[in-house]
Amino acid sequence: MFEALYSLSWVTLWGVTLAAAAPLALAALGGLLSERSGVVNLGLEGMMLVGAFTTAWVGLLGPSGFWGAMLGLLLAGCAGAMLAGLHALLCLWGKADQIISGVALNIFASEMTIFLALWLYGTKGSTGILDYTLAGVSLGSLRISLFFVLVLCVWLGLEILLWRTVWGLRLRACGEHPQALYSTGISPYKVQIVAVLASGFLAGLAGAALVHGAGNFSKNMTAGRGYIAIAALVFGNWLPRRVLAACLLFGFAYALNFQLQALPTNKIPSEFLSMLPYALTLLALVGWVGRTRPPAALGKPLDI
Amino acid sequence: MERSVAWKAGWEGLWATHHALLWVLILGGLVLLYMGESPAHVYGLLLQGSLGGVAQISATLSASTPYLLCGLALVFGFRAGLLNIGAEGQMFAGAILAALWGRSLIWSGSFVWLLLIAALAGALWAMLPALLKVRFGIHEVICTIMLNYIIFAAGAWLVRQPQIRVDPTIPRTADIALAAQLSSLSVGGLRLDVGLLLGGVLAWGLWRFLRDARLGYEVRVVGLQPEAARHSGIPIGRRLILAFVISGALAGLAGGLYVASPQHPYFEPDFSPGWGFWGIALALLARNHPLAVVPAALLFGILETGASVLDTTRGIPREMIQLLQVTLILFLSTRFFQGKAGGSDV
Repeated sequence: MFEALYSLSWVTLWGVTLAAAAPLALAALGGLLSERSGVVNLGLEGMMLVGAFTTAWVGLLGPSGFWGAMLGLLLAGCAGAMLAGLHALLCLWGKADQIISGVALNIFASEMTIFLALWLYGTKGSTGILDYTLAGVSLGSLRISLFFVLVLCVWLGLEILLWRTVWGLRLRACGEHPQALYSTGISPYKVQIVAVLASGFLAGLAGAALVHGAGNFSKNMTAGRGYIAIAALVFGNWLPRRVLAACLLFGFAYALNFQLQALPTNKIPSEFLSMLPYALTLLALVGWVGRTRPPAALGKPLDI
Repeated sequence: MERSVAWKAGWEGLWATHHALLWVLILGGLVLLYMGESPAHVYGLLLQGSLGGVAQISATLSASTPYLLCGLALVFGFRAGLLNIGAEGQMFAGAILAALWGRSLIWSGSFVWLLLIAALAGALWAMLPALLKVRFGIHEVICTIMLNYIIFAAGAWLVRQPQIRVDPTIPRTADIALAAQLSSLSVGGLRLDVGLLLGGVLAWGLWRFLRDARLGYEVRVVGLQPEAARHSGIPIGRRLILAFVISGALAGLAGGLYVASPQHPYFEPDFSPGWGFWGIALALLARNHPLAVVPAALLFGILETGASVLDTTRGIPREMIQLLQVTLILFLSTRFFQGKAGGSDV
């Protein structure tokens, strides 16, 4: 049953792993910003979805080539940030339960993108194929996705921001003890709003990475990646480099699934292969239990 | 809570819900105006399509059944402090097992077995996240979402198997035995699903269980004050598992009832428009009161039946109405629509 494994091209597999890990890592690092500030963001899935739709929309609308794709990325981030703004509005102003708000926003984004695709393109399933997608750079025979390069930049930026700047200190303080932050004259609300918006922006970019990988937008194309990103966050103990490593692990599960399905000698049913990322996520969470510590004030509404 | 206080909380909740509904209808009206439709006309058509005659009311009642059971599943989970977003997957488990076993249930009255098997399948599929939560402290939302995708894939694989499917071109299982199907009752032309009646009875039973039974009380304490539950010696883990399992059994029953219906006595991978997920909306609408899920489910039945009429006759996509439903959840989750006494506890 497993002889197909021997005929895999490992270099290609690593390349696909990087490409599959990129959207997970962008969303997870975004989620890290939000959760470090104390706001649970289960809406990553929905933010990825609106980002993905926006990328496809901009790509099909006109501006082509590299700069058109960049405009698409920017707008995808903004779309994600808009949904994140709604999350902040509901949770911080409306005092909604953060988990319910996140899950509800995911349903909202799913229905919204299906509705918009129907309205703009007349199809419920998927949009047309984009003319131009961001490919990767080749390093020998290894293909590195441009989005993975972006992930590395975001990761480095986060490491510096979180541990080397006043902003990062405030962000972490806000997630651990918002009252202490408040007593130094800084509004925890402001910190959380900025963090949630930034997390939405990154999740929007993650959606864009998905569309550039697949070539078009199709309904509910995120297929749980937002939740896997949250699992990576837990698995990575809310530390950027461990979260990145967790995303690479989950990305490997996706890559194995894609590559094995493409092999003509493969005998494992594709449905079972597609379970790989979800099963691995569950296993990772079970295996890593008790060794992680979330931010102390995570998910607790501010009463300041 | 004293009875009069409970009633007051109930009325305030109803008032706040009614407000949220009004705002959502106004918002939807604005979108409809933008689309060049007359809101009054469209809402009129929606009501006419869902309540305009005996046939329409029958369709609405039948559409409400899965909402009712999934809503009850979510309510029971919420009462123990669990967000069972896996209701969709548990419903799949129920439908799959019912469709597989239903073919060999040929004795008269064996629909009872069919429903029991479906509930058991849902309960077992819910047992897994329950154990993972209690034993390993893994949050139920991530866990159940992963399990949802796993069972969706399993369902998609199942209907491809030559021993199970009817026709290689249609991805669905063969019909279940006639004896395992549940025909609906007819009351003066009005078609009444047995499932809906069963759901109503279950709503009443769950309400009494949560209000009067010791176990129900303990489940409520675990949901409201886990710390108090620990100090009063309530086995929190076992009560969480109980709540998860009952929630899963209700969702599995929703799947079994779908398969037991003579209109579609088989399992197909896209049988559900997300009833398990809409259960969250119903629980919020009902403010976690089992009895209040009944009118909430009827409302969703009206919206679904009306939306499909609008879709086919006016070309207004049903996603439009579904967007209004999600907006309703978003509104109801905020403090502005909670009601002063903050929901009911009995």
